[in-house]
Amino acid sequence: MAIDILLTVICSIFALVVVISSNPMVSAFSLLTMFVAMAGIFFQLGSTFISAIQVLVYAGAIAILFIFVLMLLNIDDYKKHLSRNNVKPIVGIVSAMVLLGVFSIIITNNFDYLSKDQLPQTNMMDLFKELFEKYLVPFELATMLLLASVVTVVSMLKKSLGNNEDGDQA
Amino acid sequence: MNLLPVILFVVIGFLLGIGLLTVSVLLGKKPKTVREHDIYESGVNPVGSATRRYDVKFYLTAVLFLLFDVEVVFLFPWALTYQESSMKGLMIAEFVFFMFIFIVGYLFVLFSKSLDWED
Amino acid sequence: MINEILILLAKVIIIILIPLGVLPLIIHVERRGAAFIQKRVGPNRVGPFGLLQPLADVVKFMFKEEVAPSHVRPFFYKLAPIFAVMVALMPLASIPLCAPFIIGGETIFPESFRSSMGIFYVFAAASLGSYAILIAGWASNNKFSMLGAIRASAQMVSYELSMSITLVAMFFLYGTNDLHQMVAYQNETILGFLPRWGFFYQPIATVIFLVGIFAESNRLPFDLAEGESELVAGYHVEYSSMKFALFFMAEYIHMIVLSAVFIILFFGGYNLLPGMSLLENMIPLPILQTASLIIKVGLMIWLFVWVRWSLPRLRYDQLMDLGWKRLLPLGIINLIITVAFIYFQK
Repeated sequence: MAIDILLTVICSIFALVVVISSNPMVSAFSLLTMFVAMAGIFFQLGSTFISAIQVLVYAGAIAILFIFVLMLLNIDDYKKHLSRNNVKPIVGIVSAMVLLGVFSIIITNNFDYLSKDQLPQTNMMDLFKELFEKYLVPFELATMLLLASVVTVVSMLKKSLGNNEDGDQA
Repeated sequence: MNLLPVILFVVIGFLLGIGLLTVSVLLGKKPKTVREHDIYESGVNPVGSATRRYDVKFYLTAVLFLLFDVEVVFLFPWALTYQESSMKGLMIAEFVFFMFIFIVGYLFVLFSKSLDWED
Repeated sequence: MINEILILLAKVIIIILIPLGVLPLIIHVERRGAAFIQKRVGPNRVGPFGLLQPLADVVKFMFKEEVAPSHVRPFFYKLAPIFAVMVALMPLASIPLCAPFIIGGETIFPESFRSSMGIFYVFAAASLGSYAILIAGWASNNKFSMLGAIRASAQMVSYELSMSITLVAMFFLYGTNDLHQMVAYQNETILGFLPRWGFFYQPIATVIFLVGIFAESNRLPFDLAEGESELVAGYHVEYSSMKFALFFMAEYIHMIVLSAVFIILFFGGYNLLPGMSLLENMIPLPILQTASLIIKVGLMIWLFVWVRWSLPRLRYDQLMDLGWKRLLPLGIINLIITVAFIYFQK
């Protein structure tokens, strides 16, 4: 129980840092920490495979991707052109409305929360069997989706690969 | 099913790192000169700043890794269930289709010259 | 309850102390090995055969001037080496030193963190290692550090992909992701005399994985992260004294962990070395198994040293070519061959 609370606290704190921090690199590293803490939560809930994938894919690949994007853009150059002031009121109003909405849902509905024992007891292998016997069409469609993304990424970046004088050679 | 050992390892690693650094701070000499605080650039005065734009190739590598990695992640459960599965033929058919798409994607990337690093 | 916690603590301390204990020895072997290969003398002054040299180095590191240059980002600059050690230690939690054994009617698993993740945990934790390098490179705020860090992470990521593909083939062969079961699978013999090691079934996967662990641990011939001739020292240019030593430590622990995983996957893990079964009556089995795992990992470390001084470094484009255009397709072909072989065998 203590571990669950610890992980949740870590997760929330770093999620906040991701949003609040003015330095995008700090945000990216906080996001990484959040992903790892979330993997811990998944593990505590019994989904061990998901938690391993959470670290392997989210923390191991997606966070690296963010950091590369930041290094690619060189944020310091863009900071000059950014001004947050004229969007501040709009953002404020929208977030206030969202918060109000969430609170109204919480107040008007009686929430039951699941305890850990109520979660279906699944084992990793059962999940896999379902995936390959029952949900095999979505499984194959997932590859098609990934293929589509590969094609998209390559064709979009092709232009910038053509003229390289912008970026530094490494 | 308990994460306690992992947390223990993280804490021990953290304490080990902090401890060794503290020992070094306590025992080590204090820096004297100002020149030590300069950026190391082979003894020459630094030129430009370190936060510059890097080649888009690195980004491309990361994206391609992400996409292929997700495909491989789908193969992990496949490889683990095969021996226990009762429908071996179906599993093989799924694998053949999956690998076909995988290889098509890989060949596309290969022939689009996205993997070439020399100019 | 208290019993359990005591056992857990004992396991954690043993698994951490073994790598930390052999670390000075490994560094000594590395330096003496380098000297031996290059026909030099090497460190031989401090203690017998210079064996105390690493200890002298540690003391020296402690008394070094503690410099934090003014242009760095202080918090992350100090965090990076600590993070490196932290992350390097994490995968150790799931490495099995010996087979589960029974004491007083209780089965005891040698690894401190046992879950159905098995090898996934080791892999996931090891993949976090690239962040220590990224943080160090970014926090140093130095061109060389940045370049070294970004190169290193792109390199580690590329080779991780080939390693994952070989891992699929190994899962397919063993039918499990549990490290103990993998080792148990390799405990038999084929053709009467050969141990049933993964290496004999999957020679291509072994080679890919071996190249992968060299690249993952940023060792020569893949030390592009440091690249002395063009990047000075890469991501740790700005690091000195104990902070540098911590990076050094993390790299060696990373090497040990990856070697152990490699041994478990392809060379029978903690299964006894030939001839060791004669000692079974005198020494308890778990100790013998631990010893044979340590000996095997030691041989791997020697291979690291040997390769370091035998092969020339790769250029960055060659490195990426090797990862994406050679190892990855080879891994795919190997996987397809494995699947076809096992399917048609029955």
